[in-house]
Amino acid sequence: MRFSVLASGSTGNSIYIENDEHAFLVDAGLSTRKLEKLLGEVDRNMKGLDGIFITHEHSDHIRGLGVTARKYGVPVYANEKTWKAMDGLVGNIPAEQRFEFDMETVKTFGSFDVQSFAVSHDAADPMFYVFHENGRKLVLITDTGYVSDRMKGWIQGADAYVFESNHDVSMLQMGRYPWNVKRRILSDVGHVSNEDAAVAMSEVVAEKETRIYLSHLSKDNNMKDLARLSVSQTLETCGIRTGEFVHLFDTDAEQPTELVTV
Amino acid sequence: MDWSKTKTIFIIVFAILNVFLYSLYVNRYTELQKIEVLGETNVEDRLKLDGISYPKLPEIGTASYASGEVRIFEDKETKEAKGQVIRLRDDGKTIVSDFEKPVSIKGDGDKPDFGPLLDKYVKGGSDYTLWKIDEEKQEAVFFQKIGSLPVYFNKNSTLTVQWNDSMEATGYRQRMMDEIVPFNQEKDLFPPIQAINALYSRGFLKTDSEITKIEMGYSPHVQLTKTQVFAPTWHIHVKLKDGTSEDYFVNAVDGRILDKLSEQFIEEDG
Repeated sequence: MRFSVLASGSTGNSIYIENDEHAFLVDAGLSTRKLEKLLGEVDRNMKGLDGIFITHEHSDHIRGLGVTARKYGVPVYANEKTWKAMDGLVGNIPAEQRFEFDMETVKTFGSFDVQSFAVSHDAADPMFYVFHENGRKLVLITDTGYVSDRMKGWIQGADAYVFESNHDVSMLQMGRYPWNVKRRILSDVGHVSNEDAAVAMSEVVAEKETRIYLSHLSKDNNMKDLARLSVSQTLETCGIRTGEFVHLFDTDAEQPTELVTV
Repeated sequence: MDWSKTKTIFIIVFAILNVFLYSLYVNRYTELQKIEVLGETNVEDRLKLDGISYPKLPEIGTASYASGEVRIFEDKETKEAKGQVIRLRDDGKTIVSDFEKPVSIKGDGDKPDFGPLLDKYVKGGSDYTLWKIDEEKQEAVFFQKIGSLPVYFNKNSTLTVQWNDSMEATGYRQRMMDEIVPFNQEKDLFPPIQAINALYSRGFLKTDSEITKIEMGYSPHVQLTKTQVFAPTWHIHVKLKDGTSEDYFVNAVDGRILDKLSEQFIEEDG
């Protein structure tokens, strides 16, 4: 399986995953034009898509969904509550393109098994996905206020993670956001900080080559270098030295990551 | 009655009236355009009105955050040091040095010259820049630099030199940052005039004061497990009407006033 984080951050999120038979997006949080451009940058195009999996209805995850789905006739997968919450936000998606993907279930597409699992975020019924193929495992987990033991069970021992590392707590606390926004971000239904993400990572990575993509970085309360430093040092205090078998990678709000094979 | 003439007179009168009313409207409109709403007066004018002057402002560019680690000094380094007795404190983070023989710091006139002392006796001495001389305490405080820019009020990169009545240094206390690395991402800087405005709007700048210096440095930003992160910072030095002076610091990326910077330093030091 191959994947690229096309864009990550509060300005829009989308991840591209493919194997030799199928190609998917997880979320379409950017305009169709931008998604086309980003896919083009990894030598792929929309026409090859077999589906779009939606995590939750926040605009940075569905901004381009309606237009993309209608323009390319791509099937869209989301759980029932998310479909309801998206009503009026994405325009009319034809019934034949609308599919329900229930929480904590698996859908199979050829050799791909896609597993959904619940996260803790202030949306109708947020969930993320684990992609399995031939014993390889790719975990996508952003937009969660904390990583519960149940979530850890789903995401244990993957070969690659797209893992939220949203903010540095002291930057957030010192920063210009209003108090209610800070409280929301720090809450159990907000976003995970660099340190909390690293602690969770340390509890789920197995002793094998693992790629971790630090994602959904706050533009105001985090920086790529800071996230990497913070995560690697916290991992180190948990007994994991990055560079040995765990490798950290940046994601960007406007640049796709290299299409890599897991 | 000649209705034809009356009609013509009416038309002429109304035409004149219209021209008059239009000119009134144009005059009003022009005057309104000239009125400046108080809140929209530009920063420069407001500062001028309050007698606050400032020098030529630095160019606005970009800068990056930087990170570094506290240097842990080792015993062997203390043995190599000549002409001084060094004790390591705080698990090797702090050097406390006493000179075996006091070292002259006499410069031209009354001003001390620390250059030779820093070069000869202090590890990485040339990486420090003088921040303040306290004549009363007979103490000088130096801040370590990142490149050419000082790191303001960071306990982990400060050097303090003490001297006696004969202008001879008797010892020093030093902490040092190592592995200083700039972050990859360059950030657009908050314009210096906006930094001044931030201070002015919050009432930090007093009337009839003179900003004598506005320069770039770094300040402690985030403390990670091992590493400290430093933010680009505007240092604004202000001379007051009564001859005293004040220093202000503004985060040069997000414009936040760092009004607790020196206080935190003193508290930490205590």
